Amino acid sequence: MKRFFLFSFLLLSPIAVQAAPSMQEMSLKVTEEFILPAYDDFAKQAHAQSELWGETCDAEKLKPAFQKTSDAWAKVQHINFGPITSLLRRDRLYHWPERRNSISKSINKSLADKDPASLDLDKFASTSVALQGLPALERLLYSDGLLDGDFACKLGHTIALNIEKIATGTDKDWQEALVNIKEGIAHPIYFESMDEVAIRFFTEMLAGFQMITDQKIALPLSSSLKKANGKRAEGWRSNRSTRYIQQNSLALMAMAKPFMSFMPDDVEKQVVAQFTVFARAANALPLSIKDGVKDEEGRAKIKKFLDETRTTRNLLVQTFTKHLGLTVGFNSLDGD
Amino acid sequence: MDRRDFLRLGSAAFTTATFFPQLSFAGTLPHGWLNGFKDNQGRYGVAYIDQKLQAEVLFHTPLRLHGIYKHPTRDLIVAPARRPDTELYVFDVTTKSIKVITADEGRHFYGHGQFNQDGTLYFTTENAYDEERGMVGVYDVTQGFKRIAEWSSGGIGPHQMRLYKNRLIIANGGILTHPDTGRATLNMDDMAPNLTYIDITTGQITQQFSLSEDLQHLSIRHIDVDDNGIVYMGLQDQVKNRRDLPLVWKTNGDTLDMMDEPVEGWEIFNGYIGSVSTNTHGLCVASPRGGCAHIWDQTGTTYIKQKDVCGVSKNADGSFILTSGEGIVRDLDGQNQRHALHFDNHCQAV
Repeated sequence: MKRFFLFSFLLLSPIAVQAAPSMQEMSLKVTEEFILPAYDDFAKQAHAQSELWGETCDAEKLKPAFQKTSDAWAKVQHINFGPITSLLRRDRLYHWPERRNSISKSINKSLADKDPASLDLDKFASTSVALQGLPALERLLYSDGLLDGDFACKLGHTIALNIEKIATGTDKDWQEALVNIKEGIAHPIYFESMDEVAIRFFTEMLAGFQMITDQKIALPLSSSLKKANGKRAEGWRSNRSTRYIQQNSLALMAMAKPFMSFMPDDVEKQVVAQFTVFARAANALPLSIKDGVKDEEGRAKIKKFLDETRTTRNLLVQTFTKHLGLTVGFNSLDGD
Repeated sequence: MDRRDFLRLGSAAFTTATFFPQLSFAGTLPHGWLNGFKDNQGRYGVAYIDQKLQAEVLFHTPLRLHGIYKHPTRDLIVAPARRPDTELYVFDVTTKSIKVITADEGRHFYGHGQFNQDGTLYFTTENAYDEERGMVGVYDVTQGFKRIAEWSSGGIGPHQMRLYKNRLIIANGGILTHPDTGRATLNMDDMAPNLTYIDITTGQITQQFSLSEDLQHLSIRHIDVDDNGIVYMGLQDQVKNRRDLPLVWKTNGDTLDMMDEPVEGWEIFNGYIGSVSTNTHGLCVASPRGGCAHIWDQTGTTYIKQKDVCGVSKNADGSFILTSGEGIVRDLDGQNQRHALHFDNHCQAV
């Protein structure tokens, strides 16, 4: 047994590192420089979208607002921590990937029932999550002939109002949580400590990389050209299958930035350089993942991007844990 | 061990499986626990934990291990690699010999296995990846772990297995993967996890359980069975849109029942149960992503905060021990030890 302890001692030889910033400092900087502006923008775009739905039911006029709201959502899509977890906000906002065409089924049922009472905003919040969020709005706007008639227009407007309510509620709750973060104290609902805030921001960022690889790419790419199915890509109806990924990639870089300001200059440069390579690979993706997975050239570009996604994530794990004192559990990071 | 031995052992351990040169016990492995680990130099292997919660490296392996199983009567320790790797390690503690078995063509292991009651057969969960089918590999222990048969697991992505009498119980996690795309989930939108029973005398499926349609994205991955044949299941949410879904279930006759929701809510598990263990008094699950373990027993439910905890196993006193990625081994009576090892997902009593 003595030998084992000697062995353990050798393994535990300390590595000289500069003092890590406090968890509160990092939590505050990320909240102020990324979280709040991103949710604020999402709330603004969602508000503009619902206003427009109050004025028109012309799909062509509404589509740009949908695209802007979706872009703003893409910036925070990877976050599953804090106010977005309350009141089933995330599930109601973005029911994806869907199973068994549940969104179309929900819309078709609503359009067939034409029940005006179902469009009461408070009641609408407890209807099927498949009917409540951005994917349902996309279906209405981009499916031929679906946005037709008074009830369909009212349904679209209700969905837009519901998205706005979720977005503004989330934004407001983050503004309130900022007070706790500034004071370095627990929040009664969302976090117990500054350690938790900083570490969750970090792990949500890592989960963002996994969201891209596992959900947005693996699903349509599948294991072979023969099995590829572009219609499993996210947002393919609104031609967003690549744009979502590119926007997510930019968001991950933007969220990493406030963390990186606490790193030694040379390490920060190294991470920024890798993010640049990552962004370049995202920009080189086929114009549409939906179509790109169906040809060898497109698949090669997608696989190159997958490689860079993994490299970037691994570099973040390595540098953030070493220089920022952000601990990510061995089992939590990669379980089975 | 001098510096030269240490360096030799270190470099060898990255490429091949090796026994640690000196073990503290001779002959038969004493009662305790086995746990996979990663050390601070990035080496993987298997550690033995004794009754005083001291840990000792038994051997190093070039690959990360997962479920580790001791033969019911012999000092053989068997560990299949995690997906998508293809090695199955058989360590003979008595002779200090190591045998590496490679998965059949077109198959890889999933990190879990199970001996039959007399230890003549060893079963593994495997992926027939081009066919997109879950399989059970059947190995004859008496013929040096020769693969003698394979059965359908009854689903996609089989993970942990347990044995109750002549029934092999399989958690088909429902997650489709292919070695060409690593560990990425290829079927998040049409997963169909299930719990399957196979009669090991025939290889035939005798019973299956599924969750309701709205819970099909919860992968059934880890299970344990009690003395009455009740199976307990720990689930992992693959979509992660919400945190309030029930993640611990048990069989009740022909149906599945969810366990009572923890007082603190299902949210405490952060969508992920990593290990399940039952003993004569109750059930314990561990959630590294929730940083906690949770117990259901006659006294109710108990929340145990422990960072990166995942290994859980029954203790001789009818309680449980827990291991964590931070090197902690603890029981529930306040005894704990910290080691310079990151303990991997599963802890197995021997």
